[in-house]
Amino acid sequence: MKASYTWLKDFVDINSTPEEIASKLTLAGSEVETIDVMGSDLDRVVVGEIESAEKHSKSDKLSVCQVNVRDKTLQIVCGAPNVKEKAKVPVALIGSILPDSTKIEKANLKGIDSFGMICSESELGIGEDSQGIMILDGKFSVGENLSKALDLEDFVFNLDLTPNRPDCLSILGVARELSALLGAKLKKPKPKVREGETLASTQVKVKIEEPSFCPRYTCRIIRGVRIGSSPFWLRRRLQACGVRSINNIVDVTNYVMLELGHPLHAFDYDLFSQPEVVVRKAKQKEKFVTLDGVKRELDSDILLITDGKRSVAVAGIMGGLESEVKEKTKNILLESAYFNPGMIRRGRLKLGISSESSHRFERGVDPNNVDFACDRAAELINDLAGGEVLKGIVDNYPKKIRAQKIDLRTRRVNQILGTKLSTSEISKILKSLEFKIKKDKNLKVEVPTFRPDVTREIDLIEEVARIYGYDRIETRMQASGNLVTPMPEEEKLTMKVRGILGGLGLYEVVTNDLVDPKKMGQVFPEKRLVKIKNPLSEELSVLRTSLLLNLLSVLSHNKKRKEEQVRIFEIGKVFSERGKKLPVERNKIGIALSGNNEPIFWNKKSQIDFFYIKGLLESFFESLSVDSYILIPNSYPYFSKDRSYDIKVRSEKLGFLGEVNEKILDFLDIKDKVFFTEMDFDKLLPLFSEDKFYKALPKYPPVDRDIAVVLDDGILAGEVEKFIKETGGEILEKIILFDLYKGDQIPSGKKSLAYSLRYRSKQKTLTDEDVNKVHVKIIEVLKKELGADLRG
Amino acid sequence: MGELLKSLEGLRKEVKEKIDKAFSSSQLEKIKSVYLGRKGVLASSFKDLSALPEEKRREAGRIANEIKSELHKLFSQKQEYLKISDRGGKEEIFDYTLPGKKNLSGRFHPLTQLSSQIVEIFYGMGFEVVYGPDVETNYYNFDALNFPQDHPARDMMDTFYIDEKRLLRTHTSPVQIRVFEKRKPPARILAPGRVYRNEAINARSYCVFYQVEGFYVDRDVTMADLKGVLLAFFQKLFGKDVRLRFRASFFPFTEPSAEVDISCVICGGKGCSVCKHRGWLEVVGAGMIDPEVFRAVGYDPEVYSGYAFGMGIDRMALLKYRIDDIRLFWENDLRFLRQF
Repeated sequence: MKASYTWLKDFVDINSTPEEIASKLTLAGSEVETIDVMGSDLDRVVVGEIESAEKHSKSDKLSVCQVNVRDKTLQIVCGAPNVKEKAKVPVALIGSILPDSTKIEKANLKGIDSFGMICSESELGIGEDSQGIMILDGKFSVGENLSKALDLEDFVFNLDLTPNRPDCLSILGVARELSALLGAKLKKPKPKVREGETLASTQVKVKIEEPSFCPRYTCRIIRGVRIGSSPFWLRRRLQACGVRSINNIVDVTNYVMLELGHPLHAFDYDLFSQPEVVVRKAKQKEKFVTLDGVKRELDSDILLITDGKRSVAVAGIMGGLESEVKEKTKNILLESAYFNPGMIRRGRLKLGISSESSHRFERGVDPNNVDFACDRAAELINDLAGGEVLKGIVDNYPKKIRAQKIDLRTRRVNQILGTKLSTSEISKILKSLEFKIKKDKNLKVEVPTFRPDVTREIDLIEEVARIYGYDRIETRMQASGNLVTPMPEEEKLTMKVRGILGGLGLYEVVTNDLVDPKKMGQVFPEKRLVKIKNPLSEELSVLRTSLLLNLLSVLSHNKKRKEEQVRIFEIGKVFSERGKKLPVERNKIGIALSGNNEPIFWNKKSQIDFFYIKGLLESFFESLSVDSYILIPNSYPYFSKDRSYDIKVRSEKLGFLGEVNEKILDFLDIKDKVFFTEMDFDKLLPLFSEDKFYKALPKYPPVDRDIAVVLDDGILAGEVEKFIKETGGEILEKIILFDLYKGDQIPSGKKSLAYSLRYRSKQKTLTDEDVNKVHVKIIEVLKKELGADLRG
Repeated sequence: MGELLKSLEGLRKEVKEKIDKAFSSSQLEKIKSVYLGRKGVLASSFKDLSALPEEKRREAGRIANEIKSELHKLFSQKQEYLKISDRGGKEEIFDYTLPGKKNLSGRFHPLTQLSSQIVEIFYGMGFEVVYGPDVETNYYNFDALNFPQDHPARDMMDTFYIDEKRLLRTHTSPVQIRVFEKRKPPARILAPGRVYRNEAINARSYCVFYQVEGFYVDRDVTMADLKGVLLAFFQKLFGKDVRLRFRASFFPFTEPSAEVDISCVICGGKGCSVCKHRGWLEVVGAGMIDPEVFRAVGYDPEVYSGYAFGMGIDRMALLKYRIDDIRLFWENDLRFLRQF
């Protein structure tokens, strides 16, 4: 909504600057986003009088004019068709810069010097007329600055209004706010309609078939109007508020809508097939051509204005093409009605159109302002287009919408706001907004019908707060209430996991939950996709079911930017559909690694491999004090067949780990090996505990023994360790594999594993004999169970 | 003579500094020959002395000699250090200037950094952290929060729908309802999380962003408390000098409602390009919880009152880190992440 400063001044006395006004409106809820300054750019444009105009000897189109600008007479060559002697015109003097950045300089047109320019409205940026030069009708003194003469200087407030305030969608409404904020009186217009003898009610009947959707319909008939263009002052105001000028009749309806906030519609009454207005619901699939020339299909959610036979407008949203006021229109039916806001909203959503009119009706106009707006428009039409306004207003208002009365407790106001306002202060504020105080002690407040947003006591409290000023409410900084608040385990674990992974040198990323179903299908096939009905694009139309695609995409993005080493993780949600209930949402930890396994170092370089990510996982669990986990081979479509595992802790599957296979890497155009793991955060949660208890440090010294065995290559190290552990029993404290060897000195098909074993007892210092007993047993078991030979 | 002494003193400083910075013997040798060599700078200063009258020459000569011997001492000291270091005490050269072996260092994403900072501040003020689902029902996202059917308030947030009843939450406010349904007041809650808006993606807006919702319901909670808690929060986040401005606004689930501006964190309120020369930045939507919301969950609005506020973390991070394109957060370019 745009509001002109000079227009506002018609309704309220303002002594403050536009900036002060903007700030006051903004703080009270009508946010002024920007202020446009108008007319200030025309400081070197003056009123001139054409003393003579002669044809240019070398051109039919050009005229050579002598123009009096008071202190001198300028010779100006002009190409406009409507140049005439004695006309007063705007003259841009040499040195002026027009709004379109044209700089006026001395010129020579086909051999004749020209000292300035006679301008059209469009060249001055004050209107749309570019057909010819602007002719200034009326009393103008030659030489006067044009901005002053035409009162062009203005400030336009661009208001960003909240949807609850339809009343502010008008100059009068904004003026009302200002009058309350400034403590100045509101001066409402008082239309005086000069009516003819003929009764309008004999010329038209109004029938409302759907009074719940159209609670009130009024109209006036104006006969014998002359269609023409509107006077400059009116066009100027429309322009300031961003509305195009069409003709004097349409312009008046728009002007009154801007001024009073009530949308009106003017029909060419001669195009009615009978003297009747019928307001009815559209039929299913009924067709109608709107003003914009589009043929639309309607349904019963849409209300129509008809003449009983043919439709003439979609009520409150857009008029019809056929009944539009045109150049030859003589007789007018001026509609001013009140339509149900919900109905208008449903209708315009279905039709996919929004108009200044529907914008206001949808938010709720004042049903009791309908006749007033109609009179104001009739008065202006009569002023500008002549004709005869028939006697009386035809008003169909079956059930009057009455102002609501609400009790307001002073105590409650102060309880909510933390203020100490008195009843009289409160009542003064409300009166300034044209609320009526029916009872002075225990306030009973009558809410004007232009404020459909105020229906409850709390709404009145907000009104009091707005006008009193939020800035005057105390800022209370003492805390009260419970001081003991638990931190949820999820939050604690999130912090912990982030800390661990960051500490292990990983970068945290955050990625969009919305992904491309095609890519998701390629990378992480999953049937139970949650699909968005109205996505931004097909590429962002489903919720992710894994972090895999997202992390690979980030990886690919960075690899393409020459980042050799990419080590990233994300903690985020994945989603899967389960019928009509809300989808399952699970928090996941995803890790993707590729490139070097450490910062580039001058004496070696090694790529991330399977054991690197496995090691990372081991460190991760160690930091979380999760003691035992195992990898179990499983076949996942996105991993290489022989590098694809489940992660299990205490027989619960926590997630999966593996090397992303070539097919997927090719699909995402990634050249290097990528290792990935995803773990279920929610399953990790019960394994995580901040309760830690001290265990006494060992009192007795350890005994270290090495053991190297040669066995079949096919035997897994895990099996060897398992037997060592089982056999070693209580006194075996630690097993470390320190060498794996294949090659010379070892038969082919065999390998050598070398372990360092640490023995320690809790009860005593172990003797060699104690250790030997166990150590020999271990060697025997390995021999017997795995066919291992002791390596010499 | 004064000038000569001054230049000698300057020379002393200069050479001392160069000796300090030298890290190899060859460097040191070069410095030595430039300054202390037979044709070096110091030697030429000595020549200037001869132009002085007898008495002054003696005094200046004494000072010059002092400087000379001091510098020689420094050179030989440094020479010793460098020898030890260069040779590592062995025959083989130990090149300690080779790059060190770094440990890997990770980074946290700027959005989660700011988010946890916000959580910590509110936690310290007695707020409890609660989460809610990203996929919500119409009921929790709109109906229970007093968004009337067929009302333009529903246009305030462009919504991604899954079907008639389910949608991606457009704000974290549904968590209010989920909490109120489960427990009785008092409740002082902070609900961080992702929210979704069906808006075109550009430098200023992205279809997903982080939001944090805070609310407090108890007896006698007033708008003055809301003003206080937000001022305390922003002072903890941006420093003591930050000022707040409350403007009247509209949200269906609060009444009275407010938009909260903070004084521009860049220019301090004087006006700059970030605040579009207004001096203020719009960062929070807030208000007193609407009685209709209380009614929907069975709280008695005559007994309890409460405030609620919500803020976009992405937007705040833009301001805090002076980032001009919101998409950078979601692109995860390592060159970007490395800066935080």
